[in-house]
Amino acid sequence: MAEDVFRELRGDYVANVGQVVTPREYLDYLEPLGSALSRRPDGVGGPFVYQFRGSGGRVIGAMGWVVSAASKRYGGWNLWGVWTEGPIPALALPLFWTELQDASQLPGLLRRANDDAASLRNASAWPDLLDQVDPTPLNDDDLRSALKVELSRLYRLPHPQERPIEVDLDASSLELLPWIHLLGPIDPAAAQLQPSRFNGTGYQYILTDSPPAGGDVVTDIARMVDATASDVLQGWRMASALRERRARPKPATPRKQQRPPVESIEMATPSRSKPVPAPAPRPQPNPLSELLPLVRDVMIVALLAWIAFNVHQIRRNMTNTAATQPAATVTAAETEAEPEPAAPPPTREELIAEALLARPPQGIRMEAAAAKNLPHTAVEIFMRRNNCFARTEPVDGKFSTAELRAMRNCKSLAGERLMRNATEPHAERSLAWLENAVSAQ
Amino acid sequence: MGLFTKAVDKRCPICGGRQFYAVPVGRAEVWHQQVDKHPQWKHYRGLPDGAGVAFSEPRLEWDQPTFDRVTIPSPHVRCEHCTSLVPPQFLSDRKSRLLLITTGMPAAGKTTWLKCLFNPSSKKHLIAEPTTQIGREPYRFVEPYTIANPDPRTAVPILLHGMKVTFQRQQLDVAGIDVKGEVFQQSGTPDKYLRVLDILTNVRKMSYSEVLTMFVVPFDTTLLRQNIGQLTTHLTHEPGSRGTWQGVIWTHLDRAQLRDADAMFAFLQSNEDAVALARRVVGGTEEVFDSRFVAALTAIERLVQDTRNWTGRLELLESLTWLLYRIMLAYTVLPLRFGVGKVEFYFAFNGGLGEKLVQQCMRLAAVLFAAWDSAGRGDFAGMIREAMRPDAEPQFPVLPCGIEFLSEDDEDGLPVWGDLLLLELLRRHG
Repeated sequence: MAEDVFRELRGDYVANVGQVVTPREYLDYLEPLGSALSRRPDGVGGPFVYQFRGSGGRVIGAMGWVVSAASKRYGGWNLWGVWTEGPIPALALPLFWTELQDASQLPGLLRRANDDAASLRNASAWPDLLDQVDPTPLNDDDLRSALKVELSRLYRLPHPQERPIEVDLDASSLELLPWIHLLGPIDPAAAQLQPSRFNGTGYQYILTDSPPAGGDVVTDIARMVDATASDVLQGWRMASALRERRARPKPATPRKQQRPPVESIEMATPSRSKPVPAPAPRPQPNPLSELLPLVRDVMIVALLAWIAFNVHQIRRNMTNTAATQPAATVTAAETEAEPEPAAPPPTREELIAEALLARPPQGIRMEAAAAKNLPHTAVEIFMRRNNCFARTEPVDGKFSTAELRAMRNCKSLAGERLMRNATEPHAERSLAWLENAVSAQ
Repeated sequence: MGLFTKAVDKRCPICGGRQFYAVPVGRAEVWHQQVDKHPQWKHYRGLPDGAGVAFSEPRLEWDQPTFDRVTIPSPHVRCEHCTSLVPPQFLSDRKSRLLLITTGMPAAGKTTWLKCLFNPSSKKHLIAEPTTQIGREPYRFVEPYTIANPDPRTAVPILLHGMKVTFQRQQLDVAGIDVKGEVFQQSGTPDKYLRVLDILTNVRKMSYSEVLTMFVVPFDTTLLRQNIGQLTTHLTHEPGSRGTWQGVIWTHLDRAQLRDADAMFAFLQSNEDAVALARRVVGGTEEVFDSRFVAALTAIERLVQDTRNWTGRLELLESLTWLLYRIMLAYTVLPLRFGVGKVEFYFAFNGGLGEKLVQQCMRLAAVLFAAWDSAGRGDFAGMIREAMRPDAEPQFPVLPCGIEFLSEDDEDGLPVWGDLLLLELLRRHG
C-alpha cells in the first residue's frame, strides 16, 4: 500500500509540558503560527497554509486551522490539519474549506485529500476540482461585496517582495479567506496564509474586533467575483489572467502614458475550453503597433515644447509691461480689488496635530482621535517613549485605566511634570513637550 | 591571568565571541526580515534555519535593534560571530556584574517573575515597592522581544536580560539568562539542549561578582509536575567556585488553601506561640505580628522539620503553606502602619525589624518547600539542606511568591518577594 501523500497534523498546549505538535520534529516551524492569537479568546483563530524547508532541505507544506488556547495558557494554541512533502496544492484550501474548520472532520478530509492527491498536483485536472468548490457562500450579497472591496484593495497594492500582504478582518469574515487565496493577486500555488508574521509571499490575516472596512471596487474585480459566484472555474481563469497581467513587467515608456486607470483594467474573459493555469500565448509583435507609440510620444514631446515656448513668451510680455508702467498709475480701483482674505493661519495645536499624524513617533501607533486631545496624547506618547507603558498599545488621546495606573508609577513622568494632578495633564507643559517631540523628528 | 582578565572577560554569552559591533534601533519588522539573512542567530539557539520566531503582536510595530552596522556610538551591540544582541550588563565591569540564571518548566511563572523583577512599573507587587530608593533600569530589549512585552510562547530557548540596579551610591549590573525549561524535556529538540549547555560553558568562562541560579518551581499539590531539579548538575559552577548561589523561586503560593484549620491547630498545639499565631491568622481579625512572632515561626519551622513522611499529610502541609502566604500578605502593610518606607523598614527601622521578620518567613518557606520536595521528587533536598546550615549565606534558598495578579482594574497585585533578592544583593555588595 502506497504511503499517504497527505498526513495528519495535530498540535496542542499540554499543561506542564508546553506546546506539542505531531509530528514532533516540526514544532519549531509551527510554533509561531498561533502566537499572534495570544490576545484572542479560546477557540478563536483561522486557517493557515504554510510551507517551510525541513531537515535535508525538503519542502514541507502544511494546511490547517489554528486557534487560541488561552484558557490553558496565555499564548498557547491548538491546531489541526494536514502536511505533505512539497507545497500545499493551490486549490486545497477552497476545496477543503468546510471540513477544515472542524477538527472532528479531519479524518474525512485526509481521506478525501489523499483520494484526490493526484488531481491536486496535476494542473490539467484542476477544472474538474474547481467544479467541486462550492460557490454557495458567494451568493450572500454582503460576503460578495466585502470580497470585491478586499480584492480591489489587494490588487491595487504594490507587489511586496518576500513579505505578506496584510488583511484585516474579524472572526465572522473568515469566509473571505479561501476566496482571497483563490482569486487574490498572489498565485495560490505559492501563497501562504497565516495569522502570524512570516517572511514569504502570501497573506497575513489580522483578526480584529471590527469587520473589514469598506472601499472602492474595481470593475473587473467585481466582474470576477460575480463570475466566481456562478462558476468557480470561470472566476479562477479571470483571476489567473489578472495575476498574469499584474505580474507582467511594465513597458519602458513613461508610466503616466502607459498605465491605464485601475477602474478600466481590461481583462480577457477566457472561455472554459482554454487550459486553466497555462498563460495564453502572447500575440506576435505587429510593426505598426510598435510604431504607433513612438509617433505618439514624439507628438507629445513636440506639444509640450510648444506649450513651454508659449508660456515663456507670455511671462516675458508680462514682465516687460510691468517694467514700463509707473508706480503712480496704480488706481484706487485696483487697490480695492485685492484677493480674498486668506484662510487664518493654523493654530499651534493644529500644526502639532498635523505634524503628529503625518509623522507619528517611531514605533508608536497613533489613532486619529489622538489629534483631538493633544495634552492627553502628549502624556500617552511620553509614557510609551519612557517604557512606562507598552508601545504596542495605540495612542488615542484618552487615558485608559491601565494607563492611569502606569502613570502613577512612572517616575520619568513625575520628573517631567507633565501632569497637573493624578488624572489631568498640564496643558501648557504637555503641549510644549509634544511640540518639541514632534519637531525633533 | 590578571593582566588579560579584562580583555578576555567580555564575551558573548551565546557563542563566546569577543568582538562586537554597534547597531541602530529600527522597526521590529525590519529585524524580522533581517534575521533570516543571519542564519547564525538561529543556529546558536538550536533553531532550524527555516523556523520562524513567534510574536504575539501580529504587526510587529515596536522598535528593536536591527542587524545593520552603525559607525556612530550606540548603546546596542551585537556579537560579530553569532549576531546576538548582547545586553550591556554582560559587558560591564566584572566587579559590579552579577549573573542571574533563571530556569523553570513551562507555566512555572518564570517569565512573569522576571518581568516583575526587571520592569515593575506597571504593577505593584513587590515587597520593597513602591520606593524611589532602589533604582532599577532594565535593558529594554530582550531579543527578540522587549522587557515590556516578553512573549511567553517562543521557540527561542534562551533569552538575555539586563538590568542596572542602583541604591544610594551602589550600582549593580544584573546580567540575566532566562533558560526555557522545555529544552530539558525528553520531547525537546537535542539541538537546543546542546546549545544551552554550550551557553552555560561560555558563561562559566566569564567572571562575575556573584552568580545566582534560580530554579522556578510552582506550588503544586498534585506533585505530578516535572520540575527542573535535575538541572542542578549542569547549571552549577565548578566545585569550590566563589559566589555561586542557588535558590528556588517558589511561585503560585496564592493557590494554597486552608484545608483543615483544626488539623493545623492540632499539629501546632505543642507550642503555644505557634498555635496562637495560627489562630490569629485563621481568625483574620487580630494583629498577626506580636512580640512572640519570631518564636512562633521558629517553632513551626522546627515542627515541620521534625516531621517525617509528609506524603500522607499533604492537606496539612497545604494548610501550613496557606498560613505562610497569609503572613507574607500581612507583612506588606506593616511599613505603612509604622509610617516608614518598605526599604527602610527592612533595613533600618527598629534595628532592621523587617529583615528579622522576613528572614523568619524565609526559613519557614524553605522548610515547607523541602517538605513538599521530599514528598514528591526530592530534587532540591540536598541543596536546601546545605543552604539551611547555620553558617550558610544567604539563609533563604527559597523565595516564596504569589503569581496571580488581581484583576486589571485593581490597584495592587499580590506580593512577589523577589525584591528581597535585590535587597540582599545590594547589602552584600555594600
